[in-house]
Amino acid sequence: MEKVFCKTKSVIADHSKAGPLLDVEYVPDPSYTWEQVTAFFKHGKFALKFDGPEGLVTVQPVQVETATSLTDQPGILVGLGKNDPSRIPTGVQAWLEQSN
Amino acid sequence: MAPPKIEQRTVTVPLHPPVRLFTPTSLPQIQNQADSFTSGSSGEVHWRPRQHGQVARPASSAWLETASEMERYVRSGESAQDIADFALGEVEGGAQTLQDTVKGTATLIRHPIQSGSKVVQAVKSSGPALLEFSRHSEDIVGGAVDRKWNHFLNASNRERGHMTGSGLMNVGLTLAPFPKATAVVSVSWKGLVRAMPKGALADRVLSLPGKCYKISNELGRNVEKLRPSARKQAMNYIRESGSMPEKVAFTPDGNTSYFPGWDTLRIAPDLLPHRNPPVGTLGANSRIGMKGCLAHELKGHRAAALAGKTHPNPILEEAQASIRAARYGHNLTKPERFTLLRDAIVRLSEHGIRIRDVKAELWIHEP
Repeated sequence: MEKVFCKTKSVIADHSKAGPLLDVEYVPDPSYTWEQVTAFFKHGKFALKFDGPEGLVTVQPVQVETATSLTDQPGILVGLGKNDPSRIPTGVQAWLEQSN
Repeated sequence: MAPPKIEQRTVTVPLHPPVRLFTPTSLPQIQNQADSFTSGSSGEVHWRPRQHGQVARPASSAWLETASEMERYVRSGESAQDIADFALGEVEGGAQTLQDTVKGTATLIRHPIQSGSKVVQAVKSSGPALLEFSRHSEDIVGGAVDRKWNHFLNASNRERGHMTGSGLMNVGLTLAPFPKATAVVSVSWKGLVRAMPKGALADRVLSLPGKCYKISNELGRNVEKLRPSARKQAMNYIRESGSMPEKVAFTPDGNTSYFPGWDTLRIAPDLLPHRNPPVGTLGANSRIGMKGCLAHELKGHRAAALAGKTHPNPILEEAQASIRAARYGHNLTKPERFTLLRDAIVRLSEHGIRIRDVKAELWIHEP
């Protein structure tokens, strides 16, 4: 697995360690199960990327945390750390991938 | 005025093994009609037309009895622990039966041609017994429909609710978007149950094809934005329960879930149950109330995460959270606890897991 696609939503809280918590909507990839996605985010550093008006925008480093709801729906939060949340528009298609 | 004369006919046909159809609901309806078929001492079956005034046996009496027994148990003042133990042992069988019924019905509807050809083969191989059935099929089927309808009319409101709810859930599940994946998972698990040690079964869930996660039922939960009063109630409950996460965030959409790495609880519209939730075990997830949902996240997932007891298998983790919420959730009523237990049982049974085989692995014995 190289990347996980998502759709940006909004910052829902400001965490003491992870920084602003960006809520994103998981876009399922038929090639992978949700279990594989959660395993993918367990280790490593990540970058949030999306296509902006002036080209590719990369927000890194970010932390990623997954959870499952009562109705078994997947959920992803992105901890933006020291990155500026205003750089990230709402409702854009983005993806999360491992960064070096 | 003389009572209407009832024609009494007795037809003797050789006893054949029961014919296995694809809808588990259909065959028992015919087999259980003791007033239509009586077994003779010489291994023969006597068929008689249904007589008016006979008391119809409920087609799903076993299931209703189980439900009634559970309710009696809940009302008897037993502790949550007792309710849990009872539910773990007894409800699972009923849930599995209902699940099998749903799958059988779904197969018939989705594959009418294949199912039809199998029915023809079954008729051919069943010989005179089925021939006799075909001659009197109108009476038999008419009688079965009559009994169902009369049972519905004579039932209490609670029983009607059970029947209606279960029926609706069957229809909903029949139209589930991932029927084949569900069937594959089910068949795979049945094979594994036979071939493998019980303790290893749960670990194999992740190796099955397709997605292990799917919405618990087609109705789901509330989708409308939470009102300020609901938010306030939620925050009050979290404070009262003494289990305040580091961050609590409300979102206008998405799903309520606990993020253990950051001790953060995201609360979404599905905090509340479905507006018109179904009755019956399969609809338990849609009925879990606000407090039950929060207890699932806090007493279930959060407490387990803080204690380092989060189960690595996500299906077992969800079941563990629901059982923990049922047992140790703050200020829950008995029906709320019972609904959570039902949710846990359905989750497991959807994946062919029997709770008695995995409960030793779950962290459910201490708060």
